[in-house]
Amino acid sequence: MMNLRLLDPSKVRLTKDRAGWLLLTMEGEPEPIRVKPARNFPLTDPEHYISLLTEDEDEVGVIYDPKQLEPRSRRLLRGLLERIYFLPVITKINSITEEFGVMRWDVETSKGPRVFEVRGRHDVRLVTQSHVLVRDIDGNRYHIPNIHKLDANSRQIMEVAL
Amino acid sequence: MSGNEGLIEEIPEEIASQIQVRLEAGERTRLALSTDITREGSFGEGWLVATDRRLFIVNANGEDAQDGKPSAPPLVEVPLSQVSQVEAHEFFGTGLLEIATDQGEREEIQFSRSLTEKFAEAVSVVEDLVKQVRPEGLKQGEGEEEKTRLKPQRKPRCPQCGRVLPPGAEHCPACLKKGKLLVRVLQYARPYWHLSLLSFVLTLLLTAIGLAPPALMKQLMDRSLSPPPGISIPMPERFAMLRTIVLALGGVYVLRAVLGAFHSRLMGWLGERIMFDVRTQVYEHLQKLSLSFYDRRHLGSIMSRVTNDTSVMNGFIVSGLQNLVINALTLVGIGVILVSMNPRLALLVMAPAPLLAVGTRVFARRIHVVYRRYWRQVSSLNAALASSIAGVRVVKGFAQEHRENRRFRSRSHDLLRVNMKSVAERTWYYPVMGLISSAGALLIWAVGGPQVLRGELTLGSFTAFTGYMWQFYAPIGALTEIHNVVQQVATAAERVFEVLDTEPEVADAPNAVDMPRIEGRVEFRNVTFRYETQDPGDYVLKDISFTAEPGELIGLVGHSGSGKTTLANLLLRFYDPTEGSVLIDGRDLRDVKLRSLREQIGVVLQEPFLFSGTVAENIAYGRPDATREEIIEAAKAANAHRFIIRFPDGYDTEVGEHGARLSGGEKQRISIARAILNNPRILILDEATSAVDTETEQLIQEALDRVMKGRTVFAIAHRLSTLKNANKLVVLDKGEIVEMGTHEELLAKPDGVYRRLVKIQTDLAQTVVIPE
Repeated sequence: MMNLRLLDPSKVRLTKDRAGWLLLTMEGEPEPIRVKPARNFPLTDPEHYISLLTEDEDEVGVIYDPKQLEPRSRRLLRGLLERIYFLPVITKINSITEEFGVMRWDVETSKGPRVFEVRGRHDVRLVTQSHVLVRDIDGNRYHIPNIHKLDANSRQIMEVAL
Repeated sequence: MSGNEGLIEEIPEEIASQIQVRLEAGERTRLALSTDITREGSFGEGWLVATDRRLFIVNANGEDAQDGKPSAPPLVEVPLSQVSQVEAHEFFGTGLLEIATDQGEREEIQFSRSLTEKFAEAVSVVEDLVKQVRPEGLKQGEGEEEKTRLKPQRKPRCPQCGRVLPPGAEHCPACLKKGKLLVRVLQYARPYWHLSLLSFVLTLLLTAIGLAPPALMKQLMDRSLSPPPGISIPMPERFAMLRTIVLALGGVYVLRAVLGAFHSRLMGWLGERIMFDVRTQVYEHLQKLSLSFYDRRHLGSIMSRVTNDTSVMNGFIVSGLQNLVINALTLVGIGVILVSMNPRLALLVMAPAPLLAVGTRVFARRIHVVYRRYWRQVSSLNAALASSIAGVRVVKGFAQEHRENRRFRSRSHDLLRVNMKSVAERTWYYPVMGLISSAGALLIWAVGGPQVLRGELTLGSFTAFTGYMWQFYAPIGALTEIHNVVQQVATAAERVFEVLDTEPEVADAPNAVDMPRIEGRVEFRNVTFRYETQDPGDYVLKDISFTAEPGELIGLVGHSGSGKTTLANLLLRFYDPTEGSVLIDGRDLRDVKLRSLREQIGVVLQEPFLFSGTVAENIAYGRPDATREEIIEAAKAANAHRFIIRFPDGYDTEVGEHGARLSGGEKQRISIARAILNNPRILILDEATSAVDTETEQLIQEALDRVMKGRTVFAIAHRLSTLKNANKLVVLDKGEIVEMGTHEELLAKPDGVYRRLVKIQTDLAQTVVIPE
């Protein structure tokens, strides 16, 4: 129980029950189990190591690479993870204005335009030298996977926030 | 009787003669020490003199009994053959050397703590003398050695000049070889010598350019605006001249601005570069140094060496030295120009210079005093603030707000007073200095003016003169303060170099080999350990010997301060034993490479330390190359996975200063995961479960039990129940092993230390009875 249990994607099927829970059916197990997915490395490796936890948060097992699941299970899992870890990608920064240490970001994201406020630089976190995670005052999170890929103007604006 | 030459001091004549008459033929003085406290207990001279046969205690001022009190006998004589005991005691204010005789009498001599050292030696000298006439020897003090042993305080004095060292300093600021230090500081510029040279040339150029404008003004006056009487220059030529000179002046200003900017840029680049080099070098050296270096110093002092002191050094290399050169050159250059133009006026210009120098000196000293007081007041205010705000619950709980207000107000008022004082000092400096300089100007006008009127001096020369005069006064103040600047830099440099010059005490021997994979047999062989700062008689561990077989669990038990953690530190080779040796698989730790040793030993401390970084980075601290899978495995084994996966960022969660707030138990489990991932062959658990609640303790204990399998484990624990399964318990008391055996064996000892400890803990546990 204490060792890492990697699930064989070919022997696993994910469906949804009527209450909206994810159901895990494993080969050799008669009963499907209600599970919820969790990423082990949401920032540095979001697409691998997906833990499946029971209602009591016991870990059933870990799927290393969800892409190897059969297509329906894969889509279901990805949709659910997208919702749980809603993390828009900032694609362009229109402006960052600062007043009394509070920054107001006006940006374009992968989920549409957005204006939000950030309190202080502790909430702008460098995950790596180029990967930036931003948390606004309400706890919403946004990220820039690679600041070097932003346009020059956006990068210039970013300078004040780092 | 060798080795006590230092203990024979020169006895004053009147005392020497008193003693001399009592001596027999061939009797020689073996010891003569002066004390600084008389028998009456006031400051004054006294003597302890010992010969081959007898002891004298003399009181030089004994005759001068005051207020008619009977004076103590001026000279006491004790034959060595009657001495039964020599003892020294140290009290809070003084020390006492006591000599007991067979008749039960006691003679004593008192001394201040400044003399503790020599009287400590005197005891053994007298003892040796007594032994020669009394073969049966002396009675020992009540069997407690410590009582008689004096511990002279280590005096923080400079060994060269005898000055007391300033607080926090390890070197005498007066004896610093400043020149040598400064040369060493400048060596950091060597890798950039061509740029340094360029910047020096620019400095010279800038100084020279600075001298040009007054010379041009002279031409402007004499050849265009107002030629001296008797010289007629045609008007068009005068206009042409005007244009040329204005253009030239403009050129000079532009050149000065451009070169100046370039120069600053160059200096800035050089400075930052050099500071980076020094900082890196100091930090990398700090990482090499042994723990003992850190034991002796405050964290703040080490940190300020890396940041403050390096930047002071940098400031000197970059601007201090340049300013010094510019100022000196300007002063000399202008002096020469002035004298060559008009020696009499030049003397007048220089007349206020000494006043300026003295004034600056006086001002700097006074303002220094004020500033120092200012810093003291500020830190006292801060301390008061910190304590009262941290203790706000107590303040409010006892309803003492008004008192805190009063206290704060009074401190704050002190600060106000100091600040007012500094304002007062500062307001006077510039006006006074201005006045002195103006006095120079007045002199020039008063003496030079008539010269101009009489036609002895051209208006142009006069204008140039006044121009140079102002430039002449500016560097004087700066040069007067050069001494302080040099002092500051030398002190900072000394502190930095001290770090760089310290050799790590624990380092790889030249022929050290890699520790092969450890099997886990650990042997302590007659290990005694004392810190360098301790007296030779003291010890932290004394004659420790025991062996742990591979895979065994060894419990280290004892009161706090009994040496358990030191034992673990020796195993990690943070220190080397003073005597004896520590062996792993039969190899002395001093013969293997540190890195290869420590890589195979895991440590879990009571207060787990997490670095700022993510959970995953912290788990992989000892093995940065670990795969994600290995990290998860380690966390699972440490019972940590379950709470980590619940964080929104999972293993990417930031911990440390600005990161997630982890509970003590959570941190502990992460640090256990760190130890597991390292797969150590030997594991040290230092109070790993004592800082957490009972439920978490179970989770941690479970994790630990899993980790301990197949490894040699040294566990230190207060809660003895966790050590029940130990293969061997080592019970330490004051640095010595008092008992050793299994839990059952030790419990079976009727009067055992371990048995007593267990009893106390079970008694405590039984007081909490939950009624059914």
